[in-house]
Amino acid sequence: MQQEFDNVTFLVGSKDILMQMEHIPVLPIFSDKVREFLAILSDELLHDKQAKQFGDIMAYAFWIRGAAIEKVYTKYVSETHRIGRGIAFQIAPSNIPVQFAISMTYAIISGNISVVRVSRKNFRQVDIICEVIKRVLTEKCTQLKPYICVLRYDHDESVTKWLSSICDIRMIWGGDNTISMIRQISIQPRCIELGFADRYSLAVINADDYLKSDFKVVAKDFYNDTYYTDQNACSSTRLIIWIGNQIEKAQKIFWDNLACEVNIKYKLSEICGSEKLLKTAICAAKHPEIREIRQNNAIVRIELPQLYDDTMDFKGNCGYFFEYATSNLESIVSLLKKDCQTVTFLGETLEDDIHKLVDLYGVRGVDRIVPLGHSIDLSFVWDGYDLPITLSRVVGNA
Amino acid sequence: MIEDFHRLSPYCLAKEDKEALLLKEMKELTDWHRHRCREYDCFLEAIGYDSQMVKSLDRIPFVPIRVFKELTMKSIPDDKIFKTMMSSGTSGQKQSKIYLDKETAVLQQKVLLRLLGDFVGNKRLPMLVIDSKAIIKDRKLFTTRGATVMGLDFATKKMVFALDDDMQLDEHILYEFANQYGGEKFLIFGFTFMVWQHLFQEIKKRKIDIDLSNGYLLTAGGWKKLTSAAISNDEFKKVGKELCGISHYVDHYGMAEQTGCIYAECECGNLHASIYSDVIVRRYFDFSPCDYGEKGYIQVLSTLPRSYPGHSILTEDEGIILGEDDCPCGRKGKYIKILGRVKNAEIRGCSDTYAAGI
Repeated sequence: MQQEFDNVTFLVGSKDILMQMEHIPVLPIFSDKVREFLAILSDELLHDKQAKQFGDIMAYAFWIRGAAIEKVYTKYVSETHRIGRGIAFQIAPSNIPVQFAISMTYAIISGNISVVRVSRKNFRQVDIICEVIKRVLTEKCTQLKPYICVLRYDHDESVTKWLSSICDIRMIWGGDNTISMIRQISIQPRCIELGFADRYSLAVINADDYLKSDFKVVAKDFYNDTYYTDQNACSSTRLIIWIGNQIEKAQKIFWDNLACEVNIKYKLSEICGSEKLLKTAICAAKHPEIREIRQNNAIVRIELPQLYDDTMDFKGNCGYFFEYATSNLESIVSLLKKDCQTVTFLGETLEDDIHKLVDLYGVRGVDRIVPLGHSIDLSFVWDGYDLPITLSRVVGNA
Repeated sequence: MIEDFHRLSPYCLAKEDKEALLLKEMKELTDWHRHRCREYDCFLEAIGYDSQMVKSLDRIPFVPIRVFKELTMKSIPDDKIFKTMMSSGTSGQKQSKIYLDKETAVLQQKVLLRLLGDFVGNKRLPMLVIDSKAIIKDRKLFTTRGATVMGLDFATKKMVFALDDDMQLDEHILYEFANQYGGEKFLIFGFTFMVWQHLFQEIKKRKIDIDLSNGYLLTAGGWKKLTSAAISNDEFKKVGKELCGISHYVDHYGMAEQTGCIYAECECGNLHASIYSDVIVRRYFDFSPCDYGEKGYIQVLSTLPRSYPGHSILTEDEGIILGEDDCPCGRKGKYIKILGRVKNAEIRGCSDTYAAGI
């Protein structure tokens, strides 16, 4: 099949590199070449003047720095005879600029050849990272050149079709619509596919433990979990479950401290006030018992008298929170459905308690249970996949 | 009672008198609708509305304008629906649905005539419509454009459509209208952008020689597209004057959700609230009322809606209140300026449904 690439822009790599990918040997997981490449890339990014202006690039660079990768590597050292599957074709989301690089990192650390299609939206972060990748591949890690392509193309289904026909792994980051559209395009019989769809996340806070904590630190942590990504990432907390005895007291202090943090740091989009009011109107029409508490338009809380099965159909962003107080943690089980990604916690026994709930009820959701403030931490385990394992294959023996 | 308003001249009330009259009416309307529209009642409950706390107009609760797209906002039983107005949403977007009973529809017309009369006189005049007849053909589903034109039907002696079904200017009709009616006062009506494109630009292009100097040009809803084409209000008027001699301009701000209560432009170029309605501009951060001259969300209050809870709406338009009771034109009440749509910033995050919802 002769594929045309006239409408394809190569941000990293070239047509020739892309055409050769089927014939490039895969690598072992955590190969020396890839670890070296990531360490250099990290170093270059951390010292790049332009990159420094972007917190998300810095977070990515920090995640792949040499020492960090070596530490992760120790967990996989015992995985001998594990090699990449082949070509990993990835479709990056349209609204998290650095996700393409994170996805690429998963692909190459697992020994694969990485092709990422980035969104048509022109993010500065994408250009900056790609420039640095190109430089590193040209100057220091030439051996990895055949392994990385980053492309951008318009509505050209033929390119997606062609890449889908040759890839061994297809990873789609995006909304449910994007995923189902791309799923129409067939892949090889043995190709594996991962869909990273839209998810929701929640927090569980023990009021009594909270009252013993540093309120300012918790406010900062919670801000990072939510406002830092406009409360619109999969990992952003949309609902807070309060347990314990002194809930009302804790709530007051919690929201007051958060308000200080938000007032200083958050740039509220002008439209958010009416957007949130609309959410409340729609939710109230379905569930008349809800009550809105509007501190100001940056912090709007919806008190739920009970947890509705469809609560998350009404989720908002940029500071729109559901709250539910309960004495019985088991009542949250109904929310731990497939779409539930991260549960953050603040409370001494909560980590164990939530793990137990997941195990006991065999719930379909909850891919991460992390302390409050860590919901956007980057990790090699994501959405329930241990990616270096999922994206590689093991050559077994007797 | 709305009759109290009909007895008054539409721009006669100064701040205190107007607020007293309007506050009473608004509280009654809020109660009226909450007992008849479940969705509205649920909303008021959710935001903790307490009628006892309402001591001033700015405490009257407001619904976000997109609620008319998302929910069935209706205070009448289905068999009382006289017509349903649809907003002219662009393709792919949900449309607003406004349910009218006979009473509200009649009220809207009556008030529209009273308000326009204050600007162009109460005599019925012939009107040249810069649009195609096609927009009023489907009577069942009115668009804002069609509804606005139909609303003016009452006010006119004769209505002539200047554009054919392909939206092309019919020169013959234009000349005939000018010959027949151009000697005395008449009306021209059109959406600002259509007047610019289909009348002014065509006159220029085809070198049409015509005198429309006795015409009062009523325009509507055009600032959005005109702003994006970088044509100022002044330039619009200058071009109209040069090309066909039009010197009377009455622009207005209004919306399908509050038909009838228009904010019409006076001789000084200001848009005026009548006694039937009011404007509160609210801050983005906390909805508190803005000072004069400070921009924010435009909230519109109207005494007319009986069949749907649209008497107090938070629009997603941005504007400022220029002043109150002291416009040199002599009309009392607030006068305002519309700046455009509230900015819709790019939101970070995973869910890509956000942008599509706007």
